[in-house]
Amino acid sequence: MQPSERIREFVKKNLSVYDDNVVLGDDDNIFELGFVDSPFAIQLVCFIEEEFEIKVGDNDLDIDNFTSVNRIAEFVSKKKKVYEDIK
Amino acid sequence: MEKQKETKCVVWDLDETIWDGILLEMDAVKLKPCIKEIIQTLDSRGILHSIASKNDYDDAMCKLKEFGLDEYFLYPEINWNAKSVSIANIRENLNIHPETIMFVDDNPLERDEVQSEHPEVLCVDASQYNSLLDHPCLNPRFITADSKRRRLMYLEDIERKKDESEYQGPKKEFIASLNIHFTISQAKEEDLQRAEELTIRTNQLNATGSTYSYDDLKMFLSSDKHRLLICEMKDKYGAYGKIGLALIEIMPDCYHLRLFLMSCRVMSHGVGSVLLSYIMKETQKAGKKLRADFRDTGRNRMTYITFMFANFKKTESKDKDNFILENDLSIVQDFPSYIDVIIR
Repeated sequence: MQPSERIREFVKKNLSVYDDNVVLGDDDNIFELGFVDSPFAIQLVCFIEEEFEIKVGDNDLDIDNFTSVNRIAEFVSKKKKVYEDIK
Repeated sequence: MEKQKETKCVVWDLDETIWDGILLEMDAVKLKPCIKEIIQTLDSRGILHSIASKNDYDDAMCKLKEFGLDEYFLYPEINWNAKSVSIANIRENLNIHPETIMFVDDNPLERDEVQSEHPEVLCVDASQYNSLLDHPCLNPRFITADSKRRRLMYLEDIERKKDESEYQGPKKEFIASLNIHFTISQAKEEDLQRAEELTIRTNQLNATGSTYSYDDLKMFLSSDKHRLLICEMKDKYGAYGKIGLALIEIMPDCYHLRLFLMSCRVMSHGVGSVLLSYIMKETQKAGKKLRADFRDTGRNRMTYITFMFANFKKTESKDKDNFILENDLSIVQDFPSYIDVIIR
């Protein structure tokens, strides 16, 4: 599975959406579709760290990195690239 | 030197600690004199109990039942594991910090083994049990309605966790089935003992880790420059009591959050974010900016994540661990439909 698919699955399963009939698109704003509460936020950070083996540092915790499936995927690939470069 | 933290849970050995004798060798073990009263008294002070004993689980629980003591122990670890492992399991199940655990055992080897793995756990020789009621760590300053019900609240939580782990299907449906009522109100004088207790006991969902005394908090009640909010929650499993606190300082151009905390017992309900949403809405109404004090205590990263996902940004910092967060209120989330939010 592509990273964005895995991320979409995670968000679909864990986000408490306002409207049950909504379809989650990769560019849709997560914060408009559902209530982003602290358990979701914490699980999302843990999911990203474990699933993609990267560390989400305090400075990465900017809402702009997490507003949509595509944004999260971009963030992940950017972080991955930093790791590759170090290697 | 920081003063010793209040004990939240006493973990007991059984043989030669709670009772005289060794259960495996003789069935007719006898409770130590007054031990039952001591356990009951601590329970009524809101202090939890658990067990770390090397014994057969069924035999030991049967014996505790006979003594009328079984209901007092949460997540008992009766097995052949190292006691440090048992303590780690209890700690994780109760979601408390090791420094709030007291371990009572007659065997110095067991105490040493626990101590070497958990340097912050307070290990006590069982021969001292008679003086436990006077121990400074076991004497909370106030005993509130919430502390008296604490064990029952944990039992309700065990029930809830079990249902959650067995629940198949989307998380939202499960949370909706809990029928959560979350009340936010202006604190009153009768809330202040519990409010002080919350500032002392809450670590993980606490923005600053600062403690406030009853008198500090009372001052804020009569100040027209402050608003002290207290939150209460109940769901279908029962009442969680007063579980959240926020102190807003009203400045000419902004609301400044001086204190923000939520008990870790309700962490998985997401009500911390509801309280933040409420405060953001109130700030919008007042046409002000929103700022918040934050201190990295090494234990409150969850709070940091909660604030960041509510669109707070780091601004000036007094030092590496102390800083002020600011929110431009460009994203303010509505309350979720599955929580009944009551504003008083």
